[in-house]
Amino acid sequence: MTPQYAPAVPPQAANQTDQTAQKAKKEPVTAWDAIRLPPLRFLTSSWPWRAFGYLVTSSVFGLVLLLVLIGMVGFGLLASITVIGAAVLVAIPLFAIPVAAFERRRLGLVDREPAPSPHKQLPAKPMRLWLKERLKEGATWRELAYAFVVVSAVLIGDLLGVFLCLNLIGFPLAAIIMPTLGDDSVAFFDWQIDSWGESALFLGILPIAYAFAAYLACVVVGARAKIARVMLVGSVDAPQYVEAVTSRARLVDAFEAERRRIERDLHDGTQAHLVSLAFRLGVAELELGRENPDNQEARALVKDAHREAKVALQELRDLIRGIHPQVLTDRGLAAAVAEVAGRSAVPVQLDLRLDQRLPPAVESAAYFVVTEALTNVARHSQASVAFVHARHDGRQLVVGITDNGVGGADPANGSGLQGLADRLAVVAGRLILSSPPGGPTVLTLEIPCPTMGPVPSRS
Amino acid sequence: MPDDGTRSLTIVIAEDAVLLREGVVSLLERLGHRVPAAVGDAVGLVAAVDEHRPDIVITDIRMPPTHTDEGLRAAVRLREKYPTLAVLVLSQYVASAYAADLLESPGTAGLGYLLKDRVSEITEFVGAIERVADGQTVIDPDVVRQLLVQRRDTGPLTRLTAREREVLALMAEGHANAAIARSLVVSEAAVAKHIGNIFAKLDLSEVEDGHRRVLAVLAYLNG
Repeated sequence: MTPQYAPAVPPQAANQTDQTAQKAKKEPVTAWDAIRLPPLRFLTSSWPWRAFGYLVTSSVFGLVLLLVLIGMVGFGLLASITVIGAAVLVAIPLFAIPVAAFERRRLGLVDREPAPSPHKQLPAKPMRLWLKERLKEGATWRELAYAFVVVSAVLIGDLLGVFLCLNLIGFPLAAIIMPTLGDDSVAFFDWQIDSWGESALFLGILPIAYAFAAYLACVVVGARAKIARVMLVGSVDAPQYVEAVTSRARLVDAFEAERRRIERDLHDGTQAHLVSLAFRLGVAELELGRENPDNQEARALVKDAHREAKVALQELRDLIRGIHPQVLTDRGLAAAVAEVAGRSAVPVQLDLRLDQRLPPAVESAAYFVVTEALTNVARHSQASVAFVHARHDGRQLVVGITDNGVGGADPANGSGLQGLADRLAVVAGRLILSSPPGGPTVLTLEIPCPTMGPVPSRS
Repeated sequence: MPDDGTRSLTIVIAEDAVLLREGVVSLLERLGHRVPAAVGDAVGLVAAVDEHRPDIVITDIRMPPTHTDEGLRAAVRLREKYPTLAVLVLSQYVASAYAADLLESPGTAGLGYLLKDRVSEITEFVGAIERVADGQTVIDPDVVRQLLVQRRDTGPLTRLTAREREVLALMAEGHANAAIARSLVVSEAAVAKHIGNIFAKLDLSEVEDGHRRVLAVLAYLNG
């Protein structure tokens, strides 16, 4: 089994989807959502009217677009041997861009989700580059295709839909209103509607006709909106995902800087003082022994104090190393991993081929994964030997930690593996675990990163 | 003159923690050594060595202004410049990478790499200074331990027996054959035999004996 533990959806984005789902239960987001409302609520809401509005504007806009496109294609083809004709043909896809922009805005009538543009942000100038980029983008061609969908829809659906809706509502309305104005021109086939009683009959039919028209319009418009969204709208999640990851990266960077600061403060302050204290106690012990060999009590006291100072120093040194190893900053990943391997309770073989320094965040993330992995090997694996290898192929850093233990490592067991994956996700890396029962456990981390400079030479 | 009869050394000290620096200076002077300069950074160290030509330099690895390994780099440069200058480096870390840099630097004089904590073991510390000044190599036991663990299963050291490794470790700490024999409770002849085997197994037989001890230690570092 080789599951991968790179979180597919960052927590923020996942929350956002949840919120959207909850909102859909209460307040419809699209015309199709609206149809699922209780009928009375649906019919009294603004949704039918917005659907009518969308339908009508679709028809009008579609007709205008149809004429413009016919004009452009016709003129372009006729004049295609000339430069102007060719230019007009080339301009057709570009013309689809403002059409799509307009359609995205109009989509707001029947689809409350944001509808961001799928185009890349480009500086307006130089024009030639803008043109080239836009023509290269898939979004532009999807928008062109959409323009033809609009044109086809207006020919086969929109006008019919408008006609149906107008009749469904318009006829009963007319049947009610016209006779009151003294106009007897309203007729249902051979049946002239000219009395109050007959009008009142249509007063009863009107709500039913309205309901029919509302559902019909919402179904049609929902389909239209769906097509528009698929073809015209960029992924809403993508930019948010990037933002979430970069903000986490910033947080980790700040955290790393803080670790280094704490390490420096402890090292240059507390540790220096403790070394000095231990040294002075050492000197005192020596002097007491030399000048006052009879005062055993005083010597014992100083000796105890000296021992305690040394223990405190040892603890402080371990603490500092856990916060941020200086050798990682000075010498890079290979040297730091060699240090960890040297301290490991399980013997570790190394094969580290890293002749270049990597970005500090990458080195740091990889270092802590190796540290944690070796701790896990010592704690859980019952392995008698572990093997750490590291490579950088110019594009990505790959580090593998293998042991000959019992296997069965499970990220769900709170073994810290998920935390490591999270840590790697910040530097766009991933963790791959293979740990079948019976072993061996192979933990591999991959971090994409370009190389920086060579390791400082040993001068 | 030192009261134990050894020679009086001229020592230059570089250490940015003022209290420790002054403490070490006063200790060494009390023991009869001469400390013409005690400085707080690497630039001051180089200037002081140029001026006073000491027998031995004692320097912290991490010093201002960058607080990285500039004390170490200064020490390596000084050894290039003065091949007979003995150098004892004090480190806050059990970092074999730093020790390797020092051991691979040119020069024939003594070398030492001690953890800073060790300074408070006054007799041990002073002993190390004197051994390094005498041209020996003194590596901190913790560093040696780390190197042994790290190289346990790779490189030419796999050819050594457990006892030979113990002997090598003690050699790396700069002990003479007699001291090694005492510490392992064996005869000095046995130690000499072990050392002969170590040299043979590490292919060091062609080299001068005094330098072979250093090369044997280097074998650790190169795995």
